[in-house]
Amino acid sequence: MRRLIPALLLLVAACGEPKLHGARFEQPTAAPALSIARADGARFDLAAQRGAHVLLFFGYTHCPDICPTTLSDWARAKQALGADTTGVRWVFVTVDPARDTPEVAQRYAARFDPSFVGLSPTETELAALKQAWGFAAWSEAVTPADTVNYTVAHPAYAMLVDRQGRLAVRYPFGVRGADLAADLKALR
Amino acid sequence: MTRSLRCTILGVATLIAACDRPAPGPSVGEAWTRPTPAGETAAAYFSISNPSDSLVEVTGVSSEVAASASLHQSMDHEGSVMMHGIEVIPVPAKQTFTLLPGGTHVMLEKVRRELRAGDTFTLTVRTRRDSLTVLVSVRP
Repeated sequence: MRRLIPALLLLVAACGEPKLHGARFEQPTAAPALSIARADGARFDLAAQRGAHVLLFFGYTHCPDICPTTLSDWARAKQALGADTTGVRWVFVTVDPARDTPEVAQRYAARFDPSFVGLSPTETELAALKQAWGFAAWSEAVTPADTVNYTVAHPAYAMLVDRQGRLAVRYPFGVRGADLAADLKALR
Repeated sequence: MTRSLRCTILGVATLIAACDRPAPGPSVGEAWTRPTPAGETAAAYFSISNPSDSLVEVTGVSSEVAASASLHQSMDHEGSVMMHGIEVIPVPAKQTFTLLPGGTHVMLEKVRRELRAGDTFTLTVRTRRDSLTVLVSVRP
């Protein structure tokens, strides 16, 4: 009986967790650091966002397919959530700081919703982000010897950092806005 | 004219009519893109149906709305996604191929004007035999 009760409690706790449209981290750990100067000079510090859910996506502004699809889905999610979205931060981080200045990154994010944050790390900060967050990003010329037009590899997924600052959910590409909104409501 | 001669003439005429009827060709539809500021890069998507009995190959795209238009594919490389240019989209006989976000798309580089929700523009899709024009809708 002594063994049965904790097992039942675990089962009840597991059943109580809402089913999400992304992959939960089995054992949520503290999200790596992310502190980047914004276009207005103030720093966006992930650690200062405790108490809010933070959605993070690493992309680039010349990206015509994956990035605008993801940010459009985010915009639909925000619309579906209605007025009460103060507990969510929507953050786009470019992996192409050579072309995306802080102003360009912010303008790009705001295209989808004025509240979205667009960040451009320095090359040094980007190298540290790749290491800490465990993703790869590299560029390839569209045509050989073309240094102006290039495409950039970047993660296709988005991350959700929970209110305690922990890596909580990894969202694959293509999660619809309505489904993301449902998840954010369930996690409140 | 004997009855058998009339039948023969009718038969030959039917055969000629059948030969004149062109084989069903490919058709393009459901073309859309997202709102995009002037000068930036956009992706467009469409469906191409091939009702014929033989393979159709899309070999290129063009549009006056952008400085360049080309076929691209987003591909996953162990968690990172990268775009690659592609030369051909094969559409097997009796099948429809749909370009979708996260997969095959038309890359429109440096759009010449702001694409606002509700706007339309034309896109030409070239196959080895045909040149098909479709109206692309800008969707919010």
